[in-house]
Amino acid sequence: MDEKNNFTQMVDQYFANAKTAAAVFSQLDQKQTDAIVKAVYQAGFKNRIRLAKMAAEETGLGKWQDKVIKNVVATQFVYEDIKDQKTVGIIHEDHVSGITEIAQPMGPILAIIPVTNPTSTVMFKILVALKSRNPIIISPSKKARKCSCEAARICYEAAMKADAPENCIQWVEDTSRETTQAMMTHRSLSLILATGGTGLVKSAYSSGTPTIGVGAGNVPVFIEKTADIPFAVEQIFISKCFDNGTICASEQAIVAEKSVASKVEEEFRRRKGVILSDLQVKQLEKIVFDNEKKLMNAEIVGQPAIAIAQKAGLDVPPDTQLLIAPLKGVGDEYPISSEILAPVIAYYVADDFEHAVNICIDLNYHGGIGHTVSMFSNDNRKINEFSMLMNAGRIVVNTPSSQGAVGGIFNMLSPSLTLGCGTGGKNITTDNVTAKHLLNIQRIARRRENQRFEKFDKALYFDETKDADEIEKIYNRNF
Amino acid sequence: MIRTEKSDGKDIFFFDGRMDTATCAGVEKELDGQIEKAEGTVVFDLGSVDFVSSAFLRICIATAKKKGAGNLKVANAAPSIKKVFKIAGLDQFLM
Repeated sequence: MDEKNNFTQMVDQYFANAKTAAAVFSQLDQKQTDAIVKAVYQAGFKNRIRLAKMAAEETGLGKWQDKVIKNVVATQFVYEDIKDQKTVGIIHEDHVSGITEIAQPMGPILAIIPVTNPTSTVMFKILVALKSRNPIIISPSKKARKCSCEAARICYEAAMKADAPENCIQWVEDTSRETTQAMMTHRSLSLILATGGTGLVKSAYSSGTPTIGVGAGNVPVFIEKTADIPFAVEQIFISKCFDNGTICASEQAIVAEKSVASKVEEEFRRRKGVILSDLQVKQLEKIVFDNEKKLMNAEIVGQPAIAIAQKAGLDVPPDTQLLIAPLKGVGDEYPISSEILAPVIAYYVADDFEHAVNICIDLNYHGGIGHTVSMFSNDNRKINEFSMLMNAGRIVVNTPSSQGAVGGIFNMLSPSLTLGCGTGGKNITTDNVTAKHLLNIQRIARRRENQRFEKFDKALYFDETKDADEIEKIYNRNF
Repeated sequence: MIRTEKSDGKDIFFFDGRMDTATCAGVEKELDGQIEKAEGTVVFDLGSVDFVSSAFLRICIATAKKKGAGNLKVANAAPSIKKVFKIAGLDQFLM
């Protein structure tokens, strides 16, 4: 009983602290808030390399150099995107409509951090939370506890020096499923920012607390016949090999039109991609996919191509960058057609545009609804046609998918490490989540009479002989 | 120097300006001892206060603990300060 009481008290204390921080935060103006955000960004940016190395060492996933870039995006790029945004007080006034918008914070936010981006996601979520004057509690992955907590500590220290409210940032050192569950359902929690696996996101949405979650990706990249082939393949390698494929928006399958396939394959080889034989594909499947759980094998996530090849007993050159598995179909009989967060990619040759789009639809709906799809093309009509048939929050064109989906580097999407997948992915938004999603917007609505309604003879509403078409005509008379 | 007054069996403490962390360090020292001596309800008059920090809220909570629930009241808070107590879940102190 004592243990249970201590646990409850521990969780309650986090929220007592957070509520106090929220209260104090509510008094700060835009200038004070922005000073805090700037200080935190600068501290995070300053520690980008140390934190990247810590993350790579602690998790054993990815490459520290690529994690540096992730930390740069999470700090500098996010800061550049949000620094001038109005997030306090009156943020918009329209004297014609008489509507004034006021930004209010949401309250304490619980940030679930994935093992794949353990420092960048911390810094990103802290920046957008503080920009919107919300205190945040960081819940790290067990496998990345130290580096995530260190990132939070660095941010907090900087925030306090900039006169931020005490406990505006907290972190759970001794994380556990029980603690996370208790926090997600706490009465004083305003929002969960859930970045993680499907199970965790489902748990967050089921908690009863408002949640912004993410979904799984299974990103097809379509190389349409008008694409610049060497450029397209180069961009795919940049993306898929980045941090050993740990970004959920990285390409999972290449679909190339037959007319350009041989050129595509030539470029694969030039860039040290190995196109596997059917037998090699079978060998690889056993290693990269867990047939019982029907998921990628966690042990190969973020591992280099050569290490995976060795595990699978594949004889490939030692400088191999990417393992390319030609497949004939999509689904459970083709395990590599699923999401594999590693330098392993499925490869399809399509007869023509329509065939390619059909394959992409299959891939999109095979575990990646709402996330991201990618296309290389110089035909705008085909880009639009393809996009309208996909169920994806973001369709990145002529860019690496990992960096493209995250935003801010190769396109004008808001830089974010929380990519909404819409209702298909059981999320509430398809947006790249940022500071504006963490505000409650209030609207003052001043009297501005609806002129058409004022002039309309309201007695007509009680005339049963009048149908909608007649009413509409009279209602919209311009006189 | 915190101005104090006795009225209707209440000990009223008048605070002024920004109750930030630095100011509260001094306030805490000054209140030390005075709160124990107070016999009835303790009232913190915040009529002239325009900002409260976590440190001040902690002083309120500590005072309430010392004097017993219901024996600390916060009076004359401006709406922005009243809102702070509401958000912090400390509206039981508000008069």
